[in-house]
Amino acid sequence: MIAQVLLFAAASGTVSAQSGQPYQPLPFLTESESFSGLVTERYESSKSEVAALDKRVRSHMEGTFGSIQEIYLSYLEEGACMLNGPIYSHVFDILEEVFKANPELRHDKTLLISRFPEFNAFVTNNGVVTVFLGLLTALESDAQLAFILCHEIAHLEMKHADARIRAQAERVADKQFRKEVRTASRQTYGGRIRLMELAREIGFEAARHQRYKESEADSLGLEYFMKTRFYSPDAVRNMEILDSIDFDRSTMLNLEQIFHHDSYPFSKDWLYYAGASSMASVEYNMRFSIDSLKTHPDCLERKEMLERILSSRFPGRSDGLRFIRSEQDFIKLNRMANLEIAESYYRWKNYDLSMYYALQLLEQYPDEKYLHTMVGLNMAQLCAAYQRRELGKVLGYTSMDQPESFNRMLAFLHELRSREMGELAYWYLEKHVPEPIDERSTFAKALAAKVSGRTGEFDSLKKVYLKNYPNGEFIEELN
Amino acid sequence: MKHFFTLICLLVLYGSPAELIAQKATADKVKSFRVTDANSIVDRNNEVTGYYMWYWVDRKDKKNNAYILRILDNNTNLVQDIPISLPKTYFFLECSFNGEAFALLFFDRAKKSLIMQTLDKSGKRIKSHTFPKSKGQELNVMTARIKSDYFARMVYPTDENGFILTRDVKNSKLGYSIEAYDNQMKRVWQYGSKKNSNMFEMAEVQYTSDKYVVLSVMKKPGLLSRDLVFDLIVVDATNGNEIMAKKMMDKEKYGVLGLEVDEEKEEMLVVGEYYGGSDKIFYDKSKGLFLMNIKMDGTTKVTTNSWVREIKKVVRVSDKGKIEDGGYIAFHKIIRTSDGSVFAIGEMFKKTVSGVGVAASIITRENQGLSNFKIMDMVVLKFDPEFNITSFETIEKKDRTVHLPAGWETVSVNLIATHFKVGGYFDYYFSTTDKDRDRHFITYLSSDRSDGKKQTYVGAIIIDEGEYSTDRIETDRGATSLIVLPAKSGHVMIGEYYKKAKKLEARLEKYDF
Repeated sequence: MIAQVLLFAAASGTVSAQSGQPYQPLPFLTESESFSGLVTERYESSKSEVAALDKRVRSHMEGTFGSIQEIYLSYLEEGACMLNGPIYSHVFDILEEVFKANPELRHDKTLLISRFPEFNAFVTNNGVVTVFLGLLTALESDAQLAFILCHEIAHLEMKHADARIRAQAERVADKQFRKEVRTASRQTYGGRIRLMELAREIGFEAARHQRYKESEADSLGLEYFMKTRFYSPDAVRNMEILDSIDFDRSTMLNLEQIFHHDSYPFSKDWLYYAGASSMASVEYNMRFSIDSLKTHPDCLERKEMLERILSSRFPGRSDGLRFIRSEQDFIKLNRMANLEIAESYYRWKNYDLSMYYALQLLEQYPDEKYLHTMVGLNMAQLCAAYQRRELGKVLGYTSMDQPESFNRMLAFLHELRSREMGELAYWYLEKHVPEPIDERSTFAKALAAKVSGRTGEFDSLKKVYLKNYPNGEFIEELN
Repeated sequence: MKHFFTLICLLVLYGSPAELIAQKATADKVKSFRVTDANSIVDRNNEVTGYYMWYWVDRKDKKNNAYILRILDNNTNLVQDIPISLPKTYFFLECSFNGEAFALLFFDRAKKSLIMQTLDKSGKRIKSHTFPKSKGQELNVMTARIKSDYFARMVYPTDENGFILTRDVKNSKLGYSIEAYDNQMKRVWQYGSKKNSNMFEMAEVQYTSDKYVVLSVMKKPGLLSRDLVFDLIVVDATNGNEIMAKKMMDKEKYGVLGLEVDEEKEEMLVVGEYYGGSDKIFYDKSKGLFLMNIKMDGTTKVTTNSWVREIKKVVRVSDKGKIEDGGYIAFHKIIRTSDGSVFAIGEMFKKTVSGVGVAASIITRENQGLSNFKIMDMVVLKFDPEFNITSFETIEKKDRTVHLPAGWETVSVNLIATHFKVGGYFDYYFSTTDKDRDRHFITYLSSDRSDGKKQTYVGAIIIDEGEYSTDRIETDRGATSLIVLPAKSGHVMIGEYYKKAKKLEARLEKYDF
């Protein structure tokens, strides 16, 4: 899977780190009997709901239900799910607020926080509402999140997901379509091309279907939202945020400043940059029309529609809560979501993305020790991979569809030799985390000592780690 | 001589093509892969700027097929998929890119003719040109390319405005033609052997730019003759006029192994092995290594290092060039760095069966089996800017036995070396250069044993800042087979195929130095 490169939205205020203590990342969940049981149960019940349908339609729908079940189970296995913890409970409180204000809604929705950095939320026919961490970093208030949850619940109430799956199944099972597929597969000439066209048509139809339903969900979602205590203009503000998401707001990193240490001076040779792509002059073509595959219609159109409904149905309403608890709590949520993304990338061994994310976040949270630890730790892990000659598995390459700041960081990392990486990891941590302050920083410093050839230092840090954290999560890596 | 044969395994995927994305790519449902139809795209400095993959999509109609030419950049990011319709008799040969246009070369199996097409950067066809029917050697080479994995590069980018095509032509014997075309496939100039030449002549492009095209031309009086010499020819890249033709022979003969052009100083530096005046290049053992400075006006200065004098100062070597406790050296690459140092990279080999047994088998007419040879360590010879040898070092790797039919041990070591190079028997794979930063990477493939199991690895000799170092990248033991491709400077593309899982994993891996 191509790791998403992050587009940063400004937090609604700068928050300095809690004094002294570094952030402690939330546990990575890879098993949950209750969630996997729930997903499986809903899969079975979805199948029974379609039992009476035509055999072909039913078979296709069951296949889709099965794929959905597999996606969630693999999410869980990959550690991509948050089903508890402070982020989860904050979002859950907002969801509960929506249900409280709309008692007629069925309360069989299950909330899932996904650790992926996308600015997105979605629902599937099995009632799981997924909110991505990336979305939580982009929003400015709980009210904006509430509207998004209302929008997703509207999809569920109107059974859009079921309708889409059914429409696709009926299309595929359609006699005429099957005839076209049979004809194409038997064609001596052009059969494969025709089959690819038919497959593409199905995809485009699904996207068009989805786009139409977004407006319906906006409309009904607004009805739910306006019954809550939340601040109504934030429903509209959402669309402005979504519209601006494609703009790269990441900061160009001053790598020399970041990694210079008097004991290990930065070399300008490391900043060699030949551009994002060796084929930059060649026209970069997409195989499919981007517009045809967009599932969300133009955000500004949606914004206008919401404004029209608000002014006609709810004239003069501009009050309400922006935050379910407090603004501080929301800012904390924002910050946690950002930090957890950096952590998630690290756990998935995307050390380049984790480092980049951490460096970008340091612009907002310059005193956050966790982030400094992550920068050094990621550099040390990259060095260790390089020493195993597996750098290509954990360090990406520049590309035209990545932000320039990320490309430059990648190019810098590729300029380094393994001993230079090791030294940079070591001296960065010496500068920013001179003493180990928690389990993670102890491990990070030990690893940096190891990869930079400081055997004595590694041995003593290892002893410290084993003594203080006998059941620590990094024990295996230290040995 | 067109002996440009690469050991590189190239791939084409049946079914859905692999999307080689940055970092690591995995292609599933790979039923099989074929050694053709994908290769690196190199610029005129021979640096990898990308990759192309050519694959069949569908039968379009009775006479035509639909294909996709997939272009990746040198980070293996997908750049373009270009759909192309062609007659089904067309066989894809190669793809080149000059920064502004692509050139595709095909061979029409029905009409036995070459076709060259140019495409603009958006993939739109500019022009297609069909050449007159191929005959003789050109037809033989095309047949070899269609039937096997034989690859002999024919198209070279010059500048953004065009390409050069090299061809074998029929003279009174065998000749060559170097033809320059612009992006609209208009022929700008042609240079080649004389029609009435009484020699077999085969040219290899050594260097191209918008100013010069440099060829090394091998000449011999008869097809089976062993008496060959080389000419070095410099052609004006703008009009095809000959600037200089240098016979690589005075009282000695010179076999070209490496060449550099300094356009500012208007001179060339040529390196290789030299032979006695009556010796036969590739057949007789060389006398040593030479460094030749040739100015564009033809003025020449030669420095030599012979086995018996200079090279013997740093390593024990026989008069015939056999390293004591080692073997003979086949040189793969000779590099001159910006500080003037010269590195000669080679690989040792030796015979392991005496000729006596073979002679006996000839007399008794009984098949006594095979001739055995050993491919041994890599070697690095270093010379200072005055071309004085300063060191000789070996890079250990596991010896590997090569079997040839009985009788080969009576053949000269030089011919054996040539045969090994052409046949891909050496562990040496390819070399890449970062001209801007004067770095050179020589890649080879070998294996050893660790934990009692065979471990294949990609080995590298890296020359940087006037010094050399080595590196090694181990591959996955669980892989059924391995693909190793040249990549951008300092990197190698490693593809590991898992037959049972029908999976191909490819990654760009960086050398450490």
